[in-house]
Amino acid sequence: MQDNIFTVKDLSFSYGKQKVLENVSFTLRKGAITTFIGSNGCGKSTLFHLMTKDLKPDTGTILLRDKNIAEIKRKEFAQQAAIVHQYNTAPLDISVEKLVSYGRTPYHTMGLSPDAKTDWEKVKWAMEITDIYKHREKAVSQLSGGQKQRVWIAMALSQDTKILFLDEPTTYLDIRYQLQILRLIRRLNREYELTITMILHDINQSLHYSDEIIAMKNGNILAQGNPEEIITSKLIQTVFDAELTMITENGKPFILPV
Amino acid sequence: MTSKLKIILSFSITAAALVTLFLFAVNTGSLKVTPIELFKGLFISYNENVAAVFDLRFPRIFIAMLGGAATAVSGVLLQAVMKNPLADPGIIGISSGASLTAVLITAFIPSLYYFTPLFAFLGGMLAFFLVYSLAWKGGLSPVRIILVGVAVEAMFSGIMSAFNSGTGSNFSGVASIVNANISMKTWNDLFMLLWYVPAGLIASFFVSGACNLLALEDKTARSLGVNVTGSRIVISVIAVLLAGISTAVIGPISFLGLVVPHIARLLVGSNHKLLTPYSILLGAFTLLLADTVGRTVAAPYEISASIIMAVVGGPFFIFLLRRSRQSYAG
Repeated sequence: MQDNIFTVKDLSFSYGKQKVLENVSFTLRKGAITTFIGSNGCGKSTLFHLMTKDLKPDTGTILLRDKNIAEIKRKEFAQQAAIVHQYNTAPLDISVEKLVSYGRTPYHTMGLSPDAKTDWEKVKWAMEITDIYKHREKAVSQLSGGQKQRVWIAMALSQDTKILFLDEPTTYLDIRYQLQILRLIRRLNREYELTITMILHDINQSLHYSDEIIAMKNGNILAQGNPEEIITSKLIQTVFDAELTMITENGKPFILPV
Repeated sequence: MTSKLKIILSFSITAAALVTLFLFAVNTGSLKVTPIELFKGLFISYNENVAAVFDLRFPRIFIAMLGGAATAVSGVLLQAVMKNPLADPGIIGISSGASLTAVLITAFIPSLYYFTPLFAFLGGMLAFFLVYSLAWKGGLSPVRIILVGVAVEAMFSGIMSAFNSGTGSNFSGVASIVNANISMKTWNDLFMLLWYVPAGLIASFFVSGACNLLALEDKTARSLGVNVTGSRIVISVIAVLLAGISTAVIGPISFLGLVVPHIARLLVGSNHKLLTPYSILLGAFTLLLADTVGRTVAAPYEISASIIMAVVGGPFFIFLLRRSRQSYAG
């Protein structure tokens, strides 16, 4: 299980003159939950956009297994990796089921589905595992924040990929929904063997739910590894520019965010 | 969610209303024929009144219906591409760009008459390109599109009016495009529309799935494997084609492409697989209604359909502008 699913080499990107990422290199382990931590504007989201073909790097390469993603067709890529973005919009009147079924788009040709039965199975599974099946006929706009977020996750899941990116999946949700989402993510990883890469703002949740942490600052990677091994109060202080107390409870590190 | 019953009712009531309006429009004017006379006159034996109606009113009625359908669908597509419920081929200058080229062709190279729609299409593309690129500032804000569009529209229609006045309004073909007057149209004009409009409408069905996906954030659509830029270009070309062709024949009609899709969305929802076909029906109905009202309210004088649309559509546009923020949800 040590094989790498993503290999990022010397990646640089800038918006106009503003450098966002500078010579970033790392690998993502297959079957792991990897979480990026870092302060706002450190380049985490941009990195996700680059890794999911939404943006093109200035220099450097991103390999999916051993193929450069620049050479993978968008549609094929969408059959292998899905992403849930931080901010989403949908028409006011679209139903949950319809929106989740958009996740099947990468398998369609000219807007037509070659296999409606598989489509429905995947859409149904995605709605069931995210616990929104009972809301399938409702309009997405009528749902609560936590339910909406699960609809967007369900849409990505119906893409039936082995790789899932999540950009701040718990932001704006209250703690009950945050845990619901994080447990779902863990379940997808453990039971369905999805390789999960996400961005989280809560340091403790990152430590608790991740197999690997990648700490970023100013477009560079400061540290990568198993949370118990790499997290020190010094690293946290460098990453977030804030002095925080670290305690250890049952062998696990916790940061007191006060 | 829009209920199935509401959708079925909307389609059937509008279709019935269109047929009724058609029969009424056939019968409106100095000549009267009953539906039975009409049927007999058309399919069984010659009837002088029916023949006159057939030559004079039929082309006009069909032109109004086709032009209305084309303009409405053009509005639907532009709104999808620009993610802006206020985009309308008339307001943002596509129609005036198209009519300006149509005017120039009609005046200077009348031998190319049958290709007028193609040139109108090119003029429309030029206007569209101007609006899109001038309004682009790291994204398209709805209000900026409208502002730039209004300026482009004013410029093209200004040139067109200048040309019309400067030539003493002597080119009747030109004047009819400038004034968006469909009273003197013949079967030839109808055939010109028949070449292009059905093709454009059929194409619009094929892109309805892509239109639906464009309603998501661009990055979300991209993550579903959609070539967002490519889809935008294809959909825009179809939209400009439809607006350009109808403009080449009936002149620029403002607000139709705005009012019809908006009402259609309220009735059948935002799914383009229903929205596009319904807008065809409602667009045909609306322009035929405007034209029929225009030739009855002040008979024997006629008010052109575009003026009726402007009078009714203007307030409607302001109403939409005031509540436009509520169209998309997170």
